[in-house]
Amino acid sequence: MISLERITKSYEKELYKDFSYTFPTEGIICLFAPSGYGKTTLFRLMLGLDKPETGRVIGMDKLRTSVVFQEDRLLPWLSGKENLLAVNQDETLCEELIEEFGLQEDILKYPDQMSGGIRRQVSILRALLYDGDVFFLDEPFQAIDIVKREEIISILKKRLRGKLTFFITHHLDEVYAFADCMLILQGTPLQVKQTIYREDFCSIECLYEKINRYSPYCDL
Amino acid sequence: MNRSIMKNKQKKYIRSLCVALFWICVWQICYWVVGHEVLVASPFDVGKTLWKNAGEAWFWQVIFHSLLRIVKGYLFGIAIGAVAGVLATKYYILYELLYPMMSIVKASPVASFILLTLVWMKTDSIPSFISFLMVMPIMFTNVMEGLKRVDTDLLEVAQVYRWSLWKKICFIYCPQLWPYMAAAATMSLGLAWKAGVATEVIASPSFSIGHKLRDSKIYMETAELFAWTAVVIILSMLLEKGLAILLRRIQSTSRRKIR
Repeated sequence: MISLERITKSYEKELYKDFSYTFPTEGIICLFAPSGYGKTTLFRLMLGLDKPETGRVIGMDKLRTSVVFQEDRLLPWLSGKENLLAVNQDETLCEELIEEFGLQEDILKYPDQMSGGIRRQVSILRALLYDGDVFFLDEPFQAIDIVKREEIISILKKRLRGKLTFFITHHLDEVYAFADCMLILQGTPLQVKQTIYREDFCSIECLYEKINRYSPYCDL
Repeated sequence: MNRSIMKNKQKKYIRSLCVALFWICVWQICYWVVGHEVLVASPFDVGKTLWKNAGEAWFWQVIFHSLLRIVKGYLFGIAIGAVAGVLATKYYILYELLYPMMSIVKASPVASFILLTLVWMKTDSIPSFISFLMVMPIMFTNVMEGLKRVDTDLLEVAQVYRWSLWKKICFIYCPQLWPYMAAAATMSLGLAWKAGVATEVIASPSFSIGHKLRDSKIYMETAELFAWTAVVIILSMLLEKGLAILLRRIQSTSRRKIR
């Protein structure tokens, strides 16, 4: 079980102060907060890329993590496929995933020859191929068209079943289609204002109404 | 397509040949104008001397020993400069210690070092040492600069995907450091070569191009002096060309290995 214990972290402003939370052991958890409020910072703290000023992250040490960063972060001197094989040499799984995403041709290109959407998909593929215990997806569907996004969401839902996934987005339709649970974070320093579970999602419009009570910045 | 590339190459060669011929003509005219063989040797005499020397075993021995000395210093400079650059980036105290030394080496006249080392070292080792001194600070600075610019975002990728240090070196550090190291290697080669030959002129170790240059000056054999100078220029060009090929080979081999 992953939990945060009395985390304090500031940059220009105090993002977290004595922040504690225990996450469920599986499911797709969406962190929902306005831009610049520290969602990515929370990811970085949990991944050990940043250190909290006080407090600690418990339960992450032994877990393998698959990450889709906010930026694609592909190695520009390797082709898409080489980028994938750099995290896992399992060619069979690699080919299987490439085929599932329909990227047989684009995967042979170098990142600077790919469109933004394709680069994003390669970044998702890399996370899936590594097959970590916990997935961190920071705005994974940006630059991907609606049709492809739906396809990817259904692949991810199938592949991430039984795992714990953290997911950041500003789009409610993505939350509605993908998440099992939504943490609404609000305020400075950030606090969990409400947790909404899938069974209470009802419709996007109703989700929008629920969220707008706390966060006036979300997109429908 | 291929034919047009061939034609372009042919045109380039012909143009280079014409440029070379033009300057040889200028040289010949200078020879006629000056009219004194001690001051300016004729291209014909220089060619003849070069041809005659090339037929002797000692000529190649001299070239071999000069090359060996300078390349030895150059390779040491590359290796030590690179290692020092890496360590100085990792340990700031080492940077503080080494930086003034590198600055002094870069700013000091080569002649001062040559004269100083004449007192300290055997004449045979001085050209190697001076070449080493020319190369090391350049490699040191470039490696430090390259390491400073390594993409930290990619290092974070390596961290979350738990890459070993070796994998990080192969996949992230080497590809990003390569242009800086290749530039330093190319830039310092000419410098090492020229400084090495200049050192040989002053230190005058046996079997050295510098020694031959010095002898030809002392005995006023201007054609010989010009011929050895031509040897220095030709060798410098060959070394540069060879290095460029070697760097390309290393790059393509390492890319294949990464894959």
